[in-house]
Amino acid sequence: MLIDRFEESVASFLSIPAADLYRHGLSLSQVLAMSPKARNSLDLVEAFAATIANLQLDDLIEIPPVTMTGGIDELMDAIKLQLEQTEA
Amino acid sequence: LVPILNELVESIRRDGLSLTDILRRQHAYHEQRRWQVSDLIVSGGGFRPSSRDIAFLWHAARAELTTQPAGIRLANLGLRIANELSSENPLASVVLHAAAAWSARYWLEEEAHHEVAFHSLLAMSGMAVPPHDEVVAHRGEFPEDNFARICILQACVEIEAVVSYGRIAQMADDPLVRQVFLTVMRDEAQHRQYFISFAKALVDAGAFPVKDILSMAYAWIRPDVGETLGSDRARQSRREGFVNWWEQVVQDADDPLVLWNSDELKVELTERKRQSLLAAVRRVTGLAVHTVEQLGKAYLLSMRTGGAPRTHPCQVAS
Repeated sequence: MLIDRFEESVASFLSIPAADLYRHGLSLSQVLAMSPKARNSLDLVEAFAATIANLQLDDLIEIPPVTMTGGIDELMDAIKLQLEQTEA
Repeated sequence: LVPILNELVESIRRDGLSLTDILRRQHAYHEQRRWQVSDLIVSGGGFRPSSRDIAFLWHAARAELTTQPAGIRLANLGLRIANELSSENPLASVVLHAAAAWSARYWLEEEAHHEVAFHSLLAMSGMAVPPHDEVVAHRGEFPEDNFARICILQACVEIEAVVSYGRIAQMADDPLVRQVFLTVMRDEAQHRQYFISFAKALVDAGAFPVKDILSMAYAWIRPDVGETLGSDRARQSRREGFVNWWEQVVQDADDPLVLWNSDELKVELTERKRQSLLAAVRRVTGLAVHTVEQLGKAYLLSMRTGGAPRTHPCQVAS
């Protein structure tokens, strides 16, 4: 599944195991605290941008806006929705 | 007149400028443009600001408070990286020393005039200056980031100031308010030029990849959620320990402190800021980005090419 590859790629860019990153209700502040690579919201955006670029989804997926009020699962749900709309 | 060095790397490589040569140029430029806030304020008799003028001053008085933490961060971080790169990349090290010195000496000094000018006019108008707690909140430590992204962020902020202050200088009712905003706007335009010059030099020297320029610029002007929309955005980020003044702008049309009282004006100013930043990105990266969409595509392309140094043949689809 493309969403699995997407999740794995974002986790890899953040240097956090995917199993630790998703479906734990983590806020983006918590993700930043866990990641040895990301320091701020721009770094989080970059993990998504790099994934979109590497999976060649440039014209299909928008770089998600990262406001530090949300959570990582919320961001990934928005990606999943875009992927489903694309596949449909 | 001594101009700003727009091609720092070329000036070092081709013209053989040393760090001390660059610092003397910076100093000469600063001195020839020096102005005193006290002279400007004293020259204005019969000061009678309107309620609209006071709203302009209220915002500028707060916006200018946040320059100090940014200047301190750039000075400290620049010096640190300059020393770290002294053997590995001596060219970038010179650029970083120059940027750190300019930030510590001239940017902070000039911005201090702006802060004091706006606070003085607020006090003269009988309005309260920002209270202690608000001043302290605006002095929160500037967040960690890489130097190139901070340079572009500050170019973005200077563009906000140039466009906003320029319009206020036309719209304000009191002549002294108009004069102060015009004077400060001219300073901010020079600061924008400096930040673009430093960012370009850091990319030219191979110290930072193009993606750092593109990511910050895109975050600033991307549709709907870009930082340039500030407090007008539907959803705001929670900030801890620092204040982004553009997220504090009064938008409520019924509030006497509202900054811009027409949606058409806000749209026009936002577009001016976008065009100015796109021009800055073209200048720094050499990429032909003329729209926000092209900027977003260039950013994604730069990620695919591993950050794409500026010399990489990075083509942007229209």
